[in-house]
Amino acid sequence: MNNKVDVLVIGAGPAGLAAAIKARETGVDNVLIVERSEELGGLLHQCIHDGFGLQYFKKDLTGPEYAYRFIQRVKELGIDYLLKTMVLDITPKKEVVMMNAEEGLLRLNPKAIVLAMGCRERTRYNIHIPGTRPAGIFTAGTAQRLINVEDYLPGDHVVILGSGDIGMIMARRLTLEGAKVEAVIEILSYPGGLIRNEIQCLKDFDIPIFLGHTITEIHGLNRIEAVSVSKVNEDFNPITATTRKIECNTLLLSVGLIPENELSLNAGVSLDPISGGPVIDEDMQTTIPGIFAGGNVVHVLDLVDNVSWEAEVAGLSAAKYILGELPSFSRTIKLGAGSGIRHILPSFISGQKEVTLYMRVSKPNQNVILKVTDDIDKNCLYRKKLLAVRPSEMLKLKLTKESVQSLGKQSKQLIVSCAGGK
Amino acid sequence: MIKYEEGGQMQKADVTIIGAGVNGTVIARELSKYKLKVLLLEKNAEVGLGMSARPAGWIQAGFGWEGVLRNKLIGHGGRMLPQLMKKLDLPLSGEGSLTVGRTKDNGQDLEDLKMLLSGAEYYGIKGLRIIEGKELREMEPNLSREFDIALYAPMEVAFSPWELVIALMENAKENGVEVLLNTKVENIYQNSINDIIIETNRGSIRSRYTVNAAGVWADVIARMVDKNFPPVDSFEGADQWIMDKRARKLVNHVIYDIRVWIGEKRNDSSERLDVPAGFIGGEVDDTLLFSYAPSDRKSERDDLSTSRYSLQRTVPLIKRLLPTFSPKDIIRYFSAVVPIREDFIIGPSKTVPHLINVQMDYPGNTCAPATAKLVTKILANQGLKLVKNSRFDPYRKAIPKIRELSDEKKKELVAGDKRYGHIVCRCEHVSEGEIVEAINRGARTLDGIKYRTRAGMGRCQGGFCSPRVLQILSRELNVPLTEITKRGKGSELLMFKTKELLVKKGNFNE
Repeated sequence: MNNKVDVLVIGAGPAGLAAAIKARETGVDNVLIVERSEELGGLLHQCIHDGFGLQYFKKDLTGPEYAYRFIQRVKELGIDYLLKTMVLDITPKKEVVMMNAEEGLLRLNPKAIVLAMGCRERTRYNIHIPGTRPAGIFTAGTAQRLINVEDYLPGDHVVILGSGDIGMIMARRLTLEGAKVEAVIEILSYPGGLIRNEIQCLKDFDIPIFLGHTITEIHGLNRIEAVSVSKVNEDFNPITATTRKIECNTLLLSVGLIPENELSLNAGVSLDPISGGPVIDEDMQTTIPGIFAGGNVVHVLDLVDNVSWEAEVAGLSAAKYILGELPSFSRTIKLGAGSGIRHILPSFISGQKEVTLYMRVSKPNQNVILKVTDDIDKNCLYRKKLLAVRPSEMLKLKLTKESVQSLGKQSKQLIVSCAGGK
Repeated sequence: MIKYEEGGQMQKADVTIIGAGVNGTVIARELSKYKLKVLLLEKNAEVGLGMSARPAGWIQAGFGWEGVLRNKLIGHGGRMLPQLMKKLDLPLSGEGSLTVGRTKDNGQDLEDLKMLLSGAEYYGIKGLRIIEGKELREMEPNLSREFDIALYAPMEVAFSPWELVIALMENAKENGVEVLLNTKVENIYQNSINDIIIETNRGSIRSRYTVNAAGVWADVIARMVDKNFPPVDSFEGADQWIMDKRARKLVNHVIYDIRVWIGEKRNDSSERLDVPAGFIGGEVDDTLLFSYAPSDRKSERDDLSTSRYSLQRTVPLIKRLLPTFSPKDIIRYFSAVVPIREDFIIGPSKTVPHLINVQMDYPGNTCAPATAKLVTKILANQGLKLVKNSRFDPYRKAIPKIRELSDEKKKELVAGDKRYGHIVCRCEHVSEGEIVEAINRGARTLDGIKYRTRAGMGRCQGGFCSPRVLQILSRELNVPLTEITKRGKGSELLMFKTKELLVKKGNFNE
């Protein structure tokens, strides 16, 4: 095993694959991808529905088909990879410790690292659902793997908590397998995923969605038998008088994703408390020089196309870093979330080149104006009218080189806002 | 395997122990030191799935508890436990506990702490002392300044309650005890003094002596032969929360608010009034556990549900101790049920003298080694001949934890068995080798694997590893995936193969 690794990519999901390919295409010889699972492609393998690649490839692909194109490219380029290999630690000195069955323990000192570990799913315990702890409770992603990859159906009488994309997709999937999905329960007053999924997964299959409701208790000793469901008030507290039981033998949880940054913390990378991911600049570099990040480990993206584009920036930057071509800027401008915006990425830009900003709004709205303004002199760099926005659909905008270079020398912060409308 | 054979031949034993919790297993191990045929019966699919696995794993010094027998056993047991842990290759960790109070409010807290101290000394417990002011602040920088005095108990270190039960069972098995899982006692009666018949769901046993260590069910068992045995009519249990290892640095010791042991207010006749107070401390695995006292009343013997309001009620109690505490790092919570009694009951049944009843609640783990000695003595008093088993081996080796080994030892372990290099549980870094070894040592369910290896105990709670653990169980046990359970029959995880329902409904051509 060659210890001379230039770029080490942790994770072979869509982000890791894209970053590795880009790094290699930019001229780096020794790129190594490390993946803890049994194959390349990450979670795309279990996403057998379509809708992937509409933007990136201008084609409507399934998850495995999207992954396949990147996997083929990895093999074409002869990029090395290790499977069933778990990275145990990244030290503050950028030493990467990993284990697998063939080679046991490995310690590598790559010149640059790309973090592409993705997310984990929020559990029932993270949201404090009281009651018993029987079998039959699964996070939606785990259930998806069990059905689509392992070939087993967890149960046939299902309730789903959370109307995020994965929850809605699983509602359809379970129905297609012959299960009865009683309801999708959503605590907010609007569905949490893409409109496309609302229609194609719930409406088309007559699966009811209870907005403004939550699960207040789980029943059943050995296997789940029922859930108690209640309406919630404006503070999201359950209204006891509305509580009723829905019988089921399976509960799926689609209640959020948490970027998996244990290794990032070990390495000493600073994390952003709102996104849960590393603080990054426009080159997708973290607060530690030589450590880059891309994909869901930075922030939860809703389209895999954006994951690939973003991770390519990380791969490109990692390559440039090694080749000595990554400029370090003396001036950095912070990006702040203004009215109507929940979170914006990257956290810092140089103000010297064009940059794509990714953001999510904090609540659904219509007829809004998306604006980027200089905090000091109030100059507006970007302005666009949007008909409808919702938190589940990530927005992106491009600031041109001219517009960022037009910023005055005293500019320290840009505010992105999304206001107006009803 | 129990068989009820034709002609009335039943499985025979010298001593049959009912219940494989901490008491059943520690007694089994103690009896295996003698030449006896010992059977250990457990109604669940794994040992220790009852209450023994659930308490916070902190050795109790022995202050603040009521009951003469209880205090005696805590004292003796607590002194023997660290040695026993060593023999069983079980870790201990932590710096002990601090029971904290305030000097203001007319000095009642200081009086109470001194009372706890003298009570402990009465039972022969040494090493406790009162700490205050600057020393206390240095020991616990995050502790609220409101608390400026404390009773320091350095011996109250952390251990793993479920690993203790499993280790005791393994050592007992090694020394000849036969463990019968999925075996539930349905009836007991006495043919003659030396001939007890125990009827189970899997056949009958004929035993000269019986130990009833059935925990919260022990009174039900006891009453099978003696209707005058006092039934338990109320139960208690507290919700407990486990926090991510990232939160571990919040406290260095286990912190109890003095009111956990003694009420804040006293009425005129100085009776204690239960007032809620919190406690929090590091576990042996470096997670943080917090809970509250007094415990809730539970309505049913098997009510393991957590309550809707208990977290809302408990967070302020912990914040009072540690103002920077935040519940955001909770990764798991659970509940327990124990019988409410004034003191432990350990003794022969009045109607069947060779049936020894054992019904206890907290802190059963600390008492365990002493309980074992006491029950053995009672059995001897009832005529059981104790002839030493010269082949008794007190030592048991734990499953190697690859995550804890040095680089050299890691390489050695993987060289010996490649499967130790394949990490399956991402959060806790548990290898396939450890999971296979757990199955070799008797784990048959997902929870059995979890308690022996920690796979599934981390922040993702099995989201990543459980499909893989299911596959390994299916492969090693050679059973279909649909038969693998979480904790025994009735808790199967995967109900169908895909397409099975569609074929049944006729929607799908095979």
